[in-house]
Amino acid sequence: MQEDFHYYATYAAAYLAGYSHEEAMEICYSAQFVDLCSVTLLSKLKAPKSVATTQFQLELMDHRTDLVGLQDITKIWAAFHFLPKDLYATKKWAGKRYLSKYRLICGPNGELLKKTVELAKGRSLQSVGIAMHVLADTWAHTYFAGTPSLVINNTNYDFYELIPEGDGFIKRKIRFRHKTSEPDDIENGLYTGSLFQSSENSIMNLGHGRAGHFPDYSFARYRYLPAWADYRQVVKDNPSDYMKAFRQMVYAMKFIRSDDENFELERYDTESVDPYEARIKEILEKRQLNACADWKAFGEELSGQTIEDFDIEKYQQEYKDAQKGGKARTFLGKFFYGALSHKEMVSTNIKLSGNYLTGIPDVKRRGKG
Amino acid sequence: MDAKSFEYNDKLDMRYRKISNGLVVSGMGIIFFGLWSVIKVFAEMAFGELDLMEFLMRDLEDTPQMRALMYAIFVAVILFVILLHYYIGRCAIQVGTGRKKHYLYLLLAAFLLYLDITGFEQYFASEIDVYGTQFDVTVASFLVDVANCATVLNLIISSIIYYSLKKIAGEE
Repeated sequence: MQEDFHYYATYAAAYLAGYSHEEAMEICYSAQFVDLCSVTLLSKLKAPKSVATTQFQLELMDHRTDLVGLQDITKIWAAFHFLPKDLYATKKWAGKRYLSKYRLICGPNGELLKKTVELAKGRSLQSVGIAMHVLADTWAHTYFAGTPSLVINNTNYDFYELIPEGDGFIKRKIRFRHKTSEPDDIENGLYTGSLFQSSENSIMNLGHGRAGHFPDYSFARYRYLPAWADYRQVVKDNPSDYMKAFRQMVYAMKFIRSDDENFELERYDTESVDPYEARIKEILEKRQLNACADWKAFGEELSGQTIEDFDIEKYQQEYKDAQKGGKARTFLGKFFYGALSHKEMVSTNIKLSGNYLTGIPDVKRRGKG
Repeated sequence: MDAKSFEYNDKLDMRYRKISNGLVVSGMGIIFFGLWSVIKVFAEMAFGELDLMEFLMRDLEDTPQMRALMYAIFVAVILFVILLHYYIGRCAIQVGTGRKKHYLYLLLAAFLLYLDITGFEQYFASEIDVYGTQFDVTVASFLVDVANCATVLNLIISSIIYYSLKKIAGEE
């Protein structure tokens, strides 16, 4: 997902969940910051690099892709952007190496999502924001894995957009080109994607790179052949999925604020969201590259307050000026702590499943692959 | 209408996609092997393994006119090899991606397979010097030619299955 959902929609969801304007601003800022907290930024802040929640293209280009490099990449992407749905998934005839990657395929309502939301309970608003980012991305990034893998993440020429027309849809072939200087062309179905690289662990095969930015558009409905699906087609309906993501965020934040101890998967808020369903649907279905303006207007209508535009430098000076012992109490300090906790939780669970892609497992679990 | 209704995943559809993909990959392979065949000849010349003039003018009268003619034939053969592979490969890709129907390429692919198989004779025509300096090159060359054969065979079989599946699906 992109800024329109991670920042503005998360604000709206937080407000509907009962947070105040100021609290919702902290949550949505943290949610968006997950997409920007790279090693480059951390170096500038003299902050620990282990709390990075993303990696930019220039950082990835120089990144090694041997086992150690893959583990570094997977720890970040699988934890924050492609939360695995089922760490114990099985597939006939699949060897251990393939299965390790297959089990990292992202999807909503997995056990790790439950742990993510429960981890944020009782913690800072920054941790809530991180959890909401991860939750939202499980819907947008379904069917892709947060590890560089051709055999999981590749797509091919069989990629069609389903455009609403009348009561049905028309099918239009999507063309991907590697031209980052040009914006995506919605009208003509021309989108930027990563270059085909036959090397299994090439960075070009990380996440949904092969489909470019397309899965992050809320209006997108598409059918394609994932490399892992053995020639089965999958259809992704983003307007429907994003609506569920929004409802689930509201429920998740209500859960975090409540005394309940168990976060229920496949549960979506209706009470607070239903009155605005038509409005949200309209925003989600509108064919535009960036829905920030619409989501911002919606959020401001809800709260009656102005939502500041996202400013990456907003909290940086506070962090830099804080004394060594006081950094943990700054906004960014709390964010870094939350990010590290979440990353550790996900990496540990992946390791415990016997998967070596976030580190060498300490304990081998038998009987579950 | 639900977008999910656009998923077509019965066994026939999946097999059809698998075969189509196989056709596309084989087509690209054929084009690559065609280029490689030509590059191999020039590489042999560059490394001194093949003296082109000596090869072309063997048993012929060495006159400027004859040289010019043999050069022209050499160039024509090179172009023919490239174009033949390119045509077969391109047709296979177009058929595999559902853009066009072709049939001639199958005959040409069968002809190419025949040429490839008969070409294996060169490896067994004389005794292979296992301890010679060229042994590893010979082995590598043999393996590449086997891969080439396998690609052409895969293309032919995939095409036959592809058209059979289309017939079953009632699209013919």
